[in-house]
Amino acid sequence: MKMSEKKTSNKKAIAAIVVILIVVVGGLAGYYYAYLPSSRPMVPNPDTYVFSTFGDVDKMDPSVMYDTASGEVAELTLETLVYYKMPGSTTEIGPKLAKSWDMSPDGTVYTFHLDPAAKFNDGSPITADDVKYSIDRTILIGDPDGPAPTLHMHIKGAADYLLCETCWGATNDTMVQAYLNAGGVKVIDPQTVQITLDAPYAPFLATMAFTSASVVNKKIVEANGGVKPGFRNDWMNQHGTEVGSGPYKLTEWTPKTRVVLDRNDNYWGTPAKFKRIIINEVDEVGTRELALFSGDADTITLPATNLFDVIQKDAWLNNRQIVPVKPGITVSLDPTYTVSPNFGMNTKWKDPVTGAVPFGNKDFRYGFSYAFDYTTFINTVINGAGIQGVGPIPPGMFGYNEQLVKSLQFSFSPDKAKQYFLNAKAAGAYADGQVITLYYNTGNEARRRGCLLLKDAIEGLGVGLTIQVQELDWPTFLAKQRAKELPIFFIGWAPDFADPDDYVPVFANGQTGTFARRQGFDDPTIDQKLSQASIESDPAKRQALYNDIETWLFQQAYTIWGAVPLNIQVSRDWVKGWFFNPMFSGPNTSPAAYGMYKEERTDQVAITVGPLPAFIATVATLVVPNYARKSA
Amino acid sequence: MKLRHYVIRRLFLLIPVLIGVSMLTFTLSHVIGDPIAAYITSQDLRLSDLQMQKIVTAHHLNDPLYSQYYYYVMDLLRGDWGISRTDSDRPVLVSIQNYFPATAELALVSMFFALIVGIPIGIISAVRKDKPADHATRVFSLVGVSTPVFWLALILQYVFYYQFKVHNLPNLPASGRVNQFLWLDHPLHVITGIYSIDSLITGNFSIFFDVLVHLILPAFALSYVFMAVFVRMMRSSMLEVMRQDYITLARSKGLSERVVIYRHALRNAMIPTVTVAGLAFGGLLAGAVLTETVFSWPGVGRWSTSAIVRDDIASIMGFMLIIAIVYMLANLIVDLLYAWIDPRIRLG
Amino acid sequence: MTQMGQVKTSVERKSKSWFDEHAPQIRELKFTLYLLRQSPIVVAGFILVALFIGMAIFAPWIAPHGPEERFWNLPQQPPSWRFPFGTDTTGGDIYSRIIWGSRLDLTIALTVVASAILIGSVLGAISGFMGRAFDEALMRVTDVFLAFPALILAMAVAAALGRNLTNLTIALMVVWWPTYARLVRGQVLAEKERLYVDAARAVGASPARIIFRHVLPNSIFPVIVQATLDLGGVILTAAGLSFIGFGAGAGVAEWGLMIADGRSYLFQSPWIACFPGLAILLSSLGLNLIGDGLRDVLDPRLRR
Repeated sequence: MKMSEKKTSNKKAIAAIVVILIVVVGGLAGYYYAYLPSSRPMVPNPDTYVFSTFGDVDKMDPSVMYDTASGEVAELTLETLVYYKMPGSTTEIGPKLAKSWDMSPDGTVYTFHLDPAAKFNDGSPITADDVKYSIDRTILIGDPDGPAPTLHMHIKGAADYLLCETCWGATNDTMVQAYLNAGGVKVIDPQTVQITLDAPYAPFLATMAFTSASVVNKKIVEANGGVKPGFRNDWMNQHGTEVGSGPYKLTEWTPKTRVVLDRNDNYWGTPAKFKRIIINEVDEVGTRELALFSGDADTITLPATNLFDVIQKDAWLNNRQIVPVKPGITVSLDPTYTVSPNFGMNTKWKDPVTGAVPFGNKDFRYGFSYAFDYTTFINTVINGAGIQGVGPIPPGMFGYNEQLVKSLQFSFSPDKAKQYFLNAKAAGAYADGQVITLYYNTGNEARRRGCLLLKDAIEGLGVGLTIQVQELDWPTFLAKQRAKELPIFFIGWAPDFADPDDYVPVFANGQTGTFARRQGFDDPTIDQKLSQASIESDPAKRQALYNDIETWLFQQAYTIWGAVPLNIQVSRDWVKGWFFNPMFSGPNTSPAAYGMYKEERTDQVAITVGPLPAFIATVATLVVPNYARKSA
Repeated sequence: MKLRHYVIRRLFLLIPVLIGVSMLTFTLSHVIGDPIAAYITSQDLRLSDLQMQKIVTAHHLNDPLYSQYYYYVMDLLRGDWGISRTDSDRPVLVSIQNYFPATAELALVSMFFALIVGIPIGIISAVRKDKPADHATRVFSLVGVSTPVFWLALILQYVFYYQFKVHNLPNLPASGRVNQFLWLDHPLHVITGIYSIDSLITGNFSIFFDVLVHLILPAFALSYVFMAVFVRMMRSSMLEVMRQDYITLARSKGLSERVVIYRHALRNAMIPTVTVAGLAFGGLLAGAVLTETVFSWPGVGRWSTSAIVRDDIASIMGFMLIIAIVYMLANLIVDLLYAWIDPRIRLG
Repeated sequence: MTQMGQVKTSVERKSKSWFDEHAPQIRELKFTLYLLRQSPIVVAGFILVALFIGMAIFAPWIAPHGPEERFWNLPQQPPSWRFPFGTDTTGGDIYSRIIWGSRLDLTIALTVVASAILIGSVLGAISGFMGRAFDEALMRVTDVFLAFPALILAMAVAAALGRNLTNLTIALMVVWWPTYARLVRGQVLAEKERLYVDAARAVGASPARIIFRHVLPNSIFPVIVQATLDLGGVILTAAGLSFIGFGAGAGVAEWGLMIADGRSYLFQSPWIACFPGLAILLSSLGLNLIGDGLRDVLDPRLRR
């Protein structure tokens, strides 16, 4: 190449680079100025509430939804006949769609009088017909993994239908007729609904406060697939929260991305303050945190394992003081009714290779129970955001007996654990080299570390056990649990209604309890006591029954009770009117239905770096190195 | 043979491969747990025996394998690719329809970026062989193909999102395709699903720029490896070509170096590069899986990773099929381009 | 006198050593090694690779802590003298875990590539030699496998088999063998046309003998180059799969898994994800440098 040509081509290259730089920078700067919303507002989007979380809504149909993400949307868009008295009551039920109600002397018939002002978000009035339709729907669909079996069994005629094996995945007309004929839910007149139960059931009103008893607009649902007993309704799965009467209604659901709720301007009660609520799905904690700090999100979900990203560690661990690490953030830690995580042991699990059934041996279970470092788990893994597990009944709920629990709780004791393991080995429960695999569900950092804690402790005992830790996702986890393939697995429970009958049978009833069945034990005496306790009206007798059951559970050591976590609320401090109720499925957003708002601010916020020069710097660092190489 | 015949012949040759691919997905789906799971929605985990029987009969799951395979292929052709348990029980084809445009947008932009940066660098490296520029680009390209793309994505997020934000600089976004407030205030009329195209067509410029800005980090992460590959490829094929006699002839004719390179050498050197582009596209799709996960980009890659950790058979197989189809089409296009550029190929 | 001389020569001819027979190839090899030593790229690659191999072999002596030694009271510590690369979320020393992790990733890479070469070469050689039906069948099969990008096929196979390191290795083997089958087949097809093969056939040598004694040795070089490059590629793919969740169980010191663990704390504790990634980069780079340099050196047109 001739020298002059080289110089010209170099010059041309440089000229090209400069032109491109100007165009790119100009374009991006133009975009930045013209289109990006004001980047340093005092209170961004004053009439919109932005909540950033992980975990997508599963289904929008109240009759089948049974997860917190979906429940959160339902609590803002749908309403039930009754609800807990706001702000914080978990025991007192107050009116909602039903203005008042009567209970028959024998406690089996409840008559609800609807509030004549109540109407749907399309303006049409709510009638008893709609109520009957909604409740019947939940039962007739009868989703076995939905809320119906846990919550509505006591309505007359429901139990037979819900327990019937041929009523799911197929429409069993005989059984459908039988249920309808039983008359569990009756329309007395357009403003009155009567529900009859099989037997008196103290927590009944609480069960009517759960999302599964939400009232939906019959006309619209009928126009979109109606009710096909035994099958879910696809339209409702996508649009169920658009046809309610709540202070908000669903406008947009982009799966795995966002849910947008707009204020219901036809609301029959006090309208909510936010015009719009956006629930964003962001998997990475770090991104959520940054969104919070920069004001893009007003509230975020924060796992306990990241607690010290927002509050000071020493102040919390030593003095239980909440000191945010940055100004402008408020953090609230509140006791919940959630009983999780716990390790449930499968007493019937048989090792496919060795044939051993280790968890059938009580000493072996005791070994595990003494080998879990409860203190480290609470203080280091979940950063003090919880207390050690207290069995199936959480503190604050009827039936909780602090003295009893403290006397029964296990503690971390490697010596005792070793002794029990050796006893178990001597009795033939397992042989040296036995491998136990611990499973946790994907993404759950606290559970992952809990498993590793157990692993380190047990392997450190040197009793011939090898522990492996595997990750599994939730439905696979559930499927394997059901099939009794897992030796030991995580179990946990959040409240559907605030009564021990929602909790204890799950963990203790070997016939019907979700977890007890997977753990493979069954004690008929205990099952008896559970049924008794369920309908017992004398509180003292009830308490005695639950004491017995809890004592038995702890002594059998079928479960390592890990923790009762605190609810972590992390918001910007301009969010006002938030309060906590442990019965909320969506504690971060549901208060918006009760008047949460953003306060107005007039103070200036300084902008520290001019946007244009910084932008040029950004672009330059991206673009120049590539071209510098070119002209070398 | 005419180009038309060549195209038809190549399309025909795709069929046995497609059959083979479907056999592979069929086999795999039978190994990953129970094939019935492809037709069961997320919470049907407690079906009674009767219901199970119904599904088994409806989908011929008890028939001998060859018969099952036949029904499987018929289902595929009919559009029944199963139900995506991890995508709220939507049919797999619907999920693919929803998520594929995002991946396509990312992949195309990355490919484009890799080409327009990689090729010129490759040429310069060849022209200045054994000079510092050449060594530098060799190192750059070798580092490029050795970098784990998901790690690069994390580093980019850390620097350009976190560090910039924390130091109050305007930062590049690290997740999503578009700013949510812009999205709600300037709703986009979605046509193809590729937001950059749709926003241009409908004149929605605020969304257009925003989408481009959201593309910067993920596309850069994804394209980096392929930039390196193209640099390498261009360099070696340019070197190859420049050694040929006709180049010496052109030079001896007195043509300027620039004409020699751009008019003669380049066209011939492009051919192997175009071929590599086709193969690289496959790697791009694979890299997209990892990049989408890191950047929460709502494409098929992210869908597939959540499906695969949950043993969602239908989604995994659907994903495999669509990737195989896209990859084969990409290679076909490349081969056709190749044949069009170089008549010797189709005549040979 | 003449008789004695004749006896001597025939004895000499019979005892010609293997080295003498293959003298030209040995000279070729020596020349190659000389060229390799000259190339700074290959030398740099060798140093990197030697570093990682050394790490893997001497891990118990160099690593200050065990691979699963967790200091539960010191999670997410920034780099310090005690923990040169900091600690991760459960208090494990990242520096030690990277050293221990080299064993895992290098073993996987070697196993996968060695098996892929073995399976692929044998199949490819037979295919190329036999031709016709077997060849067509094998080509279709490799077409199907090559219709998928490596990571994606490996993902599906790993999902099918189950989540542990052994299955990860098997999945990668399944993905990698077709390349070698094709490569060796191509070489065999080229060699088949050579005169010496006809000659060997004429003399009555069996196909197996021809393949193993003549064809395969001549196909070695491209396979070696491909293998070196693939070692790097396998490390990257294995790390990618572990990142998604398909490899080692929780707590194990594996590079890809360590990056996944560090992802949730990227902004608060970037060292958790940063250093394992560098390890992957450098080990893969070393292998790619060698492969690249080898390719340049072995290219007959660039040798003269």
